[in-house]
Amino acid sequence: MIEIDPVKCVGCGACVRICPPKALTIEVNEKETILKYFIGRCIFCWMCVQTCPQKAIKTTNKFELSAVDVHELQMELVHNTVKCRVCGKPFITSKFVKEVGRRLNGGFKDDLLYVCPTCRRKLTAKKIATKVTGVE
Amino acid sequence: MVSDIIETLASVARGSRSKSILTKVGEVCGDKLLKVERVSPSTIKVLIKADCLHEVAEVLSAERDVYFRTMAASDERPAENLFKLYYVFGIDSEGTNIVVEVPTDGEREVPSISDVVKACDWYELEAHDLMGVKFSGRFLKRLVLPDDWPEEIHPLRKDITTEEIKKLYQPQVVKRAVELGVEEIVKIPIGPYHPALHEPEYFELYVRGEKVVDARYVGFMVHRGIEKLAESMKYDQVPFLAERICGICGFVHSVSYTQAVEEALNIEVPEKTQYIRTIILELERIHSHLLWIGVALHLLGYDTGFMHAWRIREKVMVLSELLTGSRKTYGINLVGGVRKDINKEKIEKTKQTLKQVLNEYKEFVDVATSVPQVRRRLSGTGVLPGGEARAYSLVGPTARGSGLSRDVRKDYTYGAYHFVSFSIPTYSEGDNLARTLVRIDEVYESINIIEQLLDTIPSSSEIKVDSWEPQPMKLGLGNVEAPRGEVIHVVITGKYGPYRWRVRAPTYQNLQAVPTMLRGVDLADAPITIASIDPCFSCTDRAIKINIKTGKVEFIPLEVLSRGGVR
Amino acid sequence: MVEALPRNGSVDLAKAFDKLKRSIWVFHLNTGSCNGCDIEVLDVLTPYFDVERFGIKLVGSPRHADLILLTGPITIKTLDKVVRAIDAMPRPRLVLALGSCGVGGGIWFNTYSTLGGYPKLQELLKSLGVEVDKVVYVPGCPVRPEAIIYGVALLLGLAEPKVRYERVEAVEG
Repeated sequence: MIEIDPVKCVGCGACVRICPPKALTIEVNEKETILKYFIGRCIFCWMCVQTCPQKAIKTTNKFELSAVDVHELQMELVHNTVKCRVCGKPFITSKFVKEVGRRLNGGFKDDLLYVCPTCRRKLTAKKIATKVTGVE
Repeated sequence: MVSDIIETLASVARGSRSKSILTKVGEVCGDKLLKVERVSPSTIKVLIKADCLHEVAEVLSAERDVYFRTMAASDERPAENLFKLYYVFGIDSEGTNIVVEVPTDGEREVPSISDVVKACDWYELEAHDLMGVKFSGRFLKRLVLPDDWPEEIHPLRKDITTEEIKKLYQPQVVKRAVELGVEEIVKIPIGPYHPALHEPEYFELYVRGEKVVDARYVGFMVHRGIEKLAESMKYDQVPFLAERICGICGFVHSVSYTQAVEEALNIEVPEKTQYIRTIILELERIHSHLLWIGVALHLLGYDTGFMHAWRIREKVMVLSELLTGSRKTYGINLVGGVRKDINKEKIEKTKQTLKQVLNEYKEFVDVATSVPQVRRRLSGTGVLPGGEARAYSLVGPTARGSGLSRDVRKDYTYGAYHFVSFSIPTYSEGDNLARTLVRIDEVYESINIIEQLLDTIPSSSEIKVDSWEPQPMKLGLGNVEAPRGEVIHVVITGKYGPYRWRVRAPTYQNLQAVPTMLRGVDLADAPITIASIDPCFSCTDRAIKINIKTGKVEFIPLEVLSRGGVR
Repeated sequence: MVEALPRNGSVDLAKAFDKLKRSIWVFHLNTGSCNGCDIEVLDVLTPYFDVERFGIKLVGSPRHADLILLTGPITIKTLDKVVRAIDAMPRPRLVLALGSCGVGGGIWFNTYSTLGGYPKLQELLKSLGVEVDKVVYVPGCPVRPEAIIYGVALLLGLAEPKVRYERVEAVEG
């Protein structure tokens, strides 16, 4: 099985996208973003370990994973959800926003960082339009 | 116009064989031949109108070195408003593939070619089931899907999603069994069991007295919808899915898939990758053949042999774990490379283990094949003449046991096989003993191949390409000689993952010949005859015995059959 | 051998479980798996692991079995055969759902022709009135022979489970 480090993980979802059997899933709701790992579907291919940009996923050699109840095989890692400042929809985790900010080294202003991709596109388009036409 | 195309035909040909064959194709088609194109060094694509498909099939099947390899139906309505059928014929003597592309609108019938190309029978039924393509001049029946599946749903069509299918069709349990009349027939619950390989598949054997008169295969119980699933996956996720097609010879499927994508997108993989893939492929062949030898001996009632074969096999399993990190479904393959390197330490360890395996294997095989009962049960039973084997385009040890020296490793070479020298064991008797001996000899060859590869493996640590760009709608073929025969994958590339992926496992080809082998054998020899093709889905468990005189149906475990315990 | 319970289970199940501790007979039920788990099941029975020394024996009919080794994601075509096989077992019915297919449907949990793992089958069995007395889920792809042996031990109460449901809060760095 794999172990996800709650300190290193930022909840970016790269592992979820690559996981062939979809044993890793991510659920975003109003309050929290939950990264779920279901051992019962894992094929132990370690693609997530290779993919993780934060090196937060660790392999272990545990294989005695039997359980009486299938729910015992579920692992959950709970992140805080950040809501888009424009439309108010929950979109990513607070740690992810911080990590992106850190990596970009201040290249992105807060007003864009906390905005979801759809709204960001609209905002940028508006800005360009304002620049070109000179009209708000 | 026509002469232009024939000229192009000659220019795209790879050698003299493909030139003469393509010219013949051009002559029968005339202006119904629309386009000729060389899609990769070894693959030539010919686009024809459906009307002349039958003539083309006649021309191709008349050639002695041309075999039917696979057929893929693809729904290309989003792009061209057409369905397309890709018939793949291979010229064994030259290693060239001729892909015959036939467009159809889905309404008009495509002429069936299963009367001239016997091997094409199931491919047409499957295309009809899953894609809704209609064929003229033949009887169409359900092959893959359940009997109560709604007529109008064709799961592989692009305009229907898995979620929609699930809404439209819900499996019914007991009601279905009653409706089908199974309740009255089945006295014992049908359960697949065997201390050997097995999946829920049946053969119906029609017997008169002790002799099998005819046999029918009832199967596709393990249809899991892999091809539809792959269309929703990304390029690098599919190798893991491909490996799970078969738990015994999974690696051949992932190699075959990656080779097909690499051919379609023109990706050059490093030499070391080729070496590693080839070593693991041969390792897989050793474990698979040892498994089969064990099971075959078990079916003959020689359980000591079964246990010894599996004891030796365990060493190979531990070795696979050392090299790949997993006992099975190795998961080390990606498009453009592999994930695990083989270092010096591992090479030494592998060599040591192989030496041990070789010694123990030789001792075991010498004893097992000299047991008089084993020899007598195997020789002269389940005879398959070379002519029949050719007609069905059989592959692998089954073909080689009937005197056809077909081997993808030599004919359509791939991986690192051109760096090593090896021979292809061939026997011409066509009986169960011949097929057994082919496999026994192949284990020696495999050990030999691995040793040669380990001696010359490059020391570089470059095991995968850095990056590659997918391009949509390119056709690629990938073939691998699996333990059971030739595996061939057809991939049509998409944006993020395969647009269409057609898998053809060796058993698909070989199984169609089993009824021929079974005709005239004693009932007690039926299990080993069915097992002698090494069925990949390992169906050999229970057979239905129908007594022609009384019409009564009984279910008998094949194991009981094999001991001759049925009257 | 354990005395077969009546279909409605009026005999004390606990008593029957007690008797099961000695040697259990298993029936191998393949519901459309890839063969990976199936040959590992065989591996367990052959010389290297050799579970027959613990009295675990593979039998030819579910009617003789205490435990079903269920592999595969349960394809639609096998569904009614699987239900009939489980129904034919005497009580107490034990099931070991093997491999990631058996536990959660594996890589094909969401295709059009599979049911998607044992939990979904169990719901179906319940609605048909077929009781299963104990289930142990053994993940792995394919499931390792050692893990199968451990799963049987867990089923018989000889070992303790090593994984538990976990819910961890991410630590803000």
